[in-house]
Amino acid sequence: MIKYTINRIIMVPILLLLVAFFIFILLNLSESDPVVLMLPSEYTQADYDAMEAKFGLDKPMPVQYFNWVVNFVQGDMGTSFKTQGPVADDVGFRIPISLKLAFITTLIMVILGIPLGVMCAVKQYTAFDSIVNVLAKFLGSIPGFWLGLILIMTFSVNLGWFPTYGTGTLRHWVLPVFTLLLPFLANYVRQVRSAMLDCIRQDYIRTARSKGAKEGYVIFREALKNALLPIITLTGGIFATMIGGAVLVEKVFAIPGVGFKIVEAINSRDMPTLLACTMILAIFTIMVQLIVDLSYALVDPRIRSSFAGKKKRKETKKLKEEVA
Amino acid sequence: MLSIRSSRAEHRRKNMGEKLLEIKNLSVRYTADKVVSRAVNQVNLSIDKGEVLGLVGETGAGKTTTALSILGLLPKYTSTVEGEIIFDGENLKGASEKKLRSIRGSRISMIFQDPMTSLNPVFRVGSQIADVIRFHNRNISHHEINQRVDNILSLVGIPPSRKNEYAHQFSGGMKQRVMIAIAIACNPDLLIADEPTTALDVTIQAQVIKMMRGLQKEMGSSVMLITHDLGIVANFCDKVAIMYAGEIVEYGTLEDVFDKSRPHHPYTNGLFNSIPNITERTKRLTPINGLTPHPSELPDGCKFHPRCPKGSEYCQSGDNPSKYINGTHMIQCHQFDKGGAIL
Repeated sequence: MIKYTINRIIMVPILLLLVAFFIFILLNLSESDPVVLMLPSEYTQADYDAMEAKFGLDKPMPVQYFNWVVNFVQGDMGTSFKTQGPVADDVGFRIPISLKLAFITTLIMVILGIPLGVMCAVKQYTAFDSIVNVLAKFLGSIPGFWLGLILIMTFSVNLGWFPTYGTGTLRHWVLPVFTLLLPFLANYVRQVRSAMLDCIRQDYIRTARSKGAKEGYVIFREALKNALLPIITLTGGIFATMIGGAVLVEKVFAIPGVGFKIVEAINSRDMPTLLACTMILAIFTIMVQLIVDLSYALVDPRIRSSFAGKKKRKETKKLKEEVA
Repeated sequence: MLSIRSSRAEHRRKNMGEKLLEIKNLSVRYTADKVVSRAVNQVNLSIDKGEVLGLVGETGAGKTTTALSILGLLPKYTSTVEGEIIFDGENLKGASEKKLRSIRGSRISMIFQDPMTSLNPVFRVGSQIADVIRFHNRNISHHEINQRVDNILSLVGIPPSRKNEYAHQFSGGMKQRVMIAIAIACNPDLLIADEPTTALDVTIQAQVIKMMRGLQKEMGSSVMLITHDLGIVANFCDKVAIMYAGEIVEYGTLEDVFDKSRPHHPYTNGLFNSIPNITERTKRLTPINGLTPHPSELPDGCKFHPRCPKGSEYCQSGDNPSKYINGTHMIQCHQFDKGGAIL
């Protein structure tokens, strides 16, 4: 288990360096010259050189990459082309906001989705299953921004129950979370259902019933623990997607999140900001993946034992010799 | 030495020969996409206390369905069960789920065909054995459960130190031993073994059967052994039921069915003839021609007539063959109608 953990953790910085390198190359392939964009419409060659030197753009690409990595590790995300100030000032405060939105939404999705999916699997082909299935398909195909606008119109403008924009109080979060949640929840319920159906049909479930286990025990312990692997993967993936992918919801509800900033940075060709935002998303995605990998090992002993450490292997060998 | 020598086992020894399970006119139908499969048809069976019954038949004969219907484990929405299943004086057919739950694993337990998939891969084998003890014994201490798990593991020949391992760390034969340990953990009155050795290789088969026989003698439990291996039946069983297309075609003591000089159902003869004989020189085996009919398309009359070497026109008629009964021996075949005259 320790070896498995270390294995996974070592991969994290390597992956991040690779991700940063690719983003760097992609941004450098861009046709437009950021220096020209930052200068006033009439400028001299001296102005151009000064601006180029200020942002370190006169150096060759590998050197730029190296400098950027060194600075990023030290917490310096560079200077924004647009504001001419530190990127960290513009991006840093957005991280907790995006995380909060993604976390609350994922949490509600899990709390609602797992019981609903399990119920559908247990009551397969009954009215309950059909209704949830149709609802899931219906809600899953509603575009998020449209739903957001309708919700604002109904609950904020007409009924006045919730504020239309901002992030101040808990009430501010209700509509955005709901808007972001629905399409994801719909898909989630169906995936949980199919993962559970796979497990419910297994022989060990029949064994559990033949032992005299109560139905709840059979479903929520024996079957669900086996269904958890695909569910964990799915949950992790959705959480990572939500951190950067809630652009439309952030736009509709004017929530200053990371995804929102990425769109802005692309529009204004603000490379340092874009790079910083993308890296932050990459870090979170990789961290979530790490947690997912580690929880695999917690749930499934087969994965755990394939990464057994040397000490454990020796112990097992000794034990087997004793038995023989 | 062994905890299994309990008062329950003593009680069973005293009451040997009393009826433990009686199945009356059991019929099971599966319905899928409006196709009705008649898996079990009018089966009558009984098992005495301490007796071993062999249920023999080809794949698809309805053996497993019969066994699952005893435990009430057939799929709820797609199967219909008719008839009576009297266990120790109580009808289990139509009994409440709570009642059935209290019987499953404690008074009737089952060993399944495929040990590879019958154990839960994400729980330790020890805890899977502990579960069944915990389900049926309230107010039992953690310590006591542990002791009983250790005890049962050594009974089935697994070192108790391996109880913290998972199913994937066991070989097929060892997994089946774990399954047996689960099945006998509560010292059941009736043990249903559904082809317990089919998925194992031959050397392990012998070990497992030998162990089961030892445990059965020790506990005095009744066993329903489902198999298609007549060798195992000869070794282990007191009574034999031959099943074909959801019906019991022949039923009797081991001698009744295995004694070649007595009359038999043509299907039983076919089964015995398809076993190679090492004392005679034969170029080919004699199989039974044709295939088992699909339970959704059972023929009229005697269900064996399309494959029967002795079949006559009379066998194709709508009537079910009558039963020829001679003491403990029952054969369901037209050739014995009217005093055994072949029509």
